[in-house]
Amino acid sequence: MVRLPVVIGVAFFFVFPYLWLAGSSFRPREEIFRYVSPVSWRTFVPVAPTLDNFRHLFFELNFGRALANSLGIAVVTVTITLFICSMIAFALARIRFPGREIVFTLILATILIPFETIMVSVFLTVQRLGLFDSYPALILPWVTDAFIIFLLRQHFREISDELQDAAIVDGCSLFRVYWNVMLPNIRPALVSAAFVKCVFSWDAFLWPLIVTRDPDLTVVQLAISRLFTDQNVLWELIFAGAFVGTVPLIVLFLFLQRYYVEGVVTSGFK
Amino acid sequence: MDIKRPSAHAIEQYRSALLLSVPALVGLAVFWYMPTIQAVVLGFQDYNLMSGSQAWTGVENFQTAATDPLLRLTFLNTVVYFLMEVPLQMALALALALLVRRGPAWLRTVILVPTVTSMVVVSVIWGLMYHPNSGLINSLLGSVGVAPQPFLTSAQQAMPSIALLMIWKNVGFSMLFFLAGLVSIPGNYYEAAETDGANSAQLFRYITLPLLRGTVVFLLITNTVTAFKVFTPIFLITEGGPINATRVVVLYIFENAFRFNKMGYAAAISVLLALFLLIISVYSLRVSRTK
Repeated sequence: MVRLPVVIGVAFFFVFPYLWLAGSSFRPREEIFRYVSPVSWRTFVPVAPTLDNFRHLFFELNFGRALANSLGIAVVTVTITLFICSMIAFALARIRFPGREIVFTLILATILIPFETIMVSVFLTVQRLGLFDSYPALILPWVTDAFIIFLLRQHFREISDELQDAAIVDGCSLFRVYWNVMLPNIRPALVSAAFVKCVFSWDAFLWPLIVTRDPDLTVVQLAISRLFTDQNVLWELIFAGAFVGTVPLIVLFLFLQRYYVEGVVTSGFK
Repeated sequence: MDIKRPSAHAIEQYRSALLLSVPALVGLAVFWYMPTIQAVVLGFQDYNLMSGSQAWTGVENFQTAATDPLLRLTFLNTVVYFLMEVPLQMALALALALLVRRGPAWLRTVILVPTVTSMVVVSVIWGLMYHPNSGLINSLLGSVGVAPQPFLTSAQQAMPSIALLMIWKNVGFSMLFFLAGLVSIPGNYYEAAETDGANSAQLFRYITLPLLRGTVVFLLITNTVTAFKVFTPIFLITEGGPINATRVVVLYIFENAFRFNKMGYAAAISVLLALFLLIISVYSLRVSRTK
């Protein structure tokens, strides 16, 4: 075991912004400013906790709409991604067909092209498809994900040939093999892929910033960023918004940490 | 008959493979391959988003790029940011990996939490923490006797401040890869070296580091690409200021495309950035292979 003070110091470095964020989201503005300096327990713990900030966010700023949008988009994105990517990953891993290596190389090649360098033309594509300012525009560009195809392909490859052969001898079509035999066998990898994609989808900011105008389509990150860039910066609302926008993912992460680590390390996802 | 049956089976297989691949391939074609080609084409055009007018301008956009002083500055700024963020972040990640391996299990969790926190939230919280008068960092510094720092309003401190928050956010990712790399080093290497009388510094220098080289190369490439894509914290916190001190390439692409309505020029810069990153990635891979 390493020395405790080092561990505590490192932990504090990563935790203190969350303590400040969580504490401040439950306090009125004057209290945030009053206790920030000198640093004491009062800097992090509300003296007179209040839910006013959250009330303001949800009842006056329609923050619930942004949360619902992001949640819905994440659920739909993750679902479609898992279907589409697991299908092609299965084909690449378990079916011999001409051109298989070329297809796989072409998929991996997309990793070399950062989205930021093609966002202008993806934007024009979306506009030409008539999808500007719509939910599909926020979802469709993200459902084919080379990292996730790669991750799932790795797991499909690890399944023994006998299992597949036995199923085919029993008269299963390849689709049945995919759906009834292979998918249940890579369930942990599917959870990893789903959570990693969920984090990614929830995080989306630059793309929604470019491709949406309609206030009804505001996603949670845009809503939080607008609290921050607004003319009169209201600190207590920023904290409350950031709190609501962060806690669900952290809670999910605490449950799914094992899958998250596996997903990140296997796919090299960032 | 014997010859025909396997081929029918093979065709059945190809058909299944094709059907299973089509949705993903269509998605990649529409949202990756075609936009990539289009970005290149757009680089040779003048494209007005408002009027939809499109005109070939040859290499004009690239000529402008070559002589644009602001582009030069944004590129240099991005390189400076890269130099501040990547080496320090990777060194810290390795140190944390070594610490986490021998420390309590919850420490890894704590270090990973920023990686699942959104870039926007990290940006706004650090943006407030950096506030000169009411920010938490100055009050923490004050409690150990350090004078208040200007952070984001100073041209010298703004970029390091951005780099620090990005290190805080990203270091967990790199740490995970180092942890995976450390696990794959066989324990008997250390035992053998220890019986030969190697001290812990020597173990690190002659066993750990060389065997982590693959991990280091991989992280160097991915972190470099990530560093050159930096956008959100700068867009939200400094907007490229003060006096262009934090104006980076992707912010400049964004502004040209969506503020100045210069789609063609934005595409030209994008192509140059993509090529630059491609060359760096391929080059580092080749160097690491030949060594």
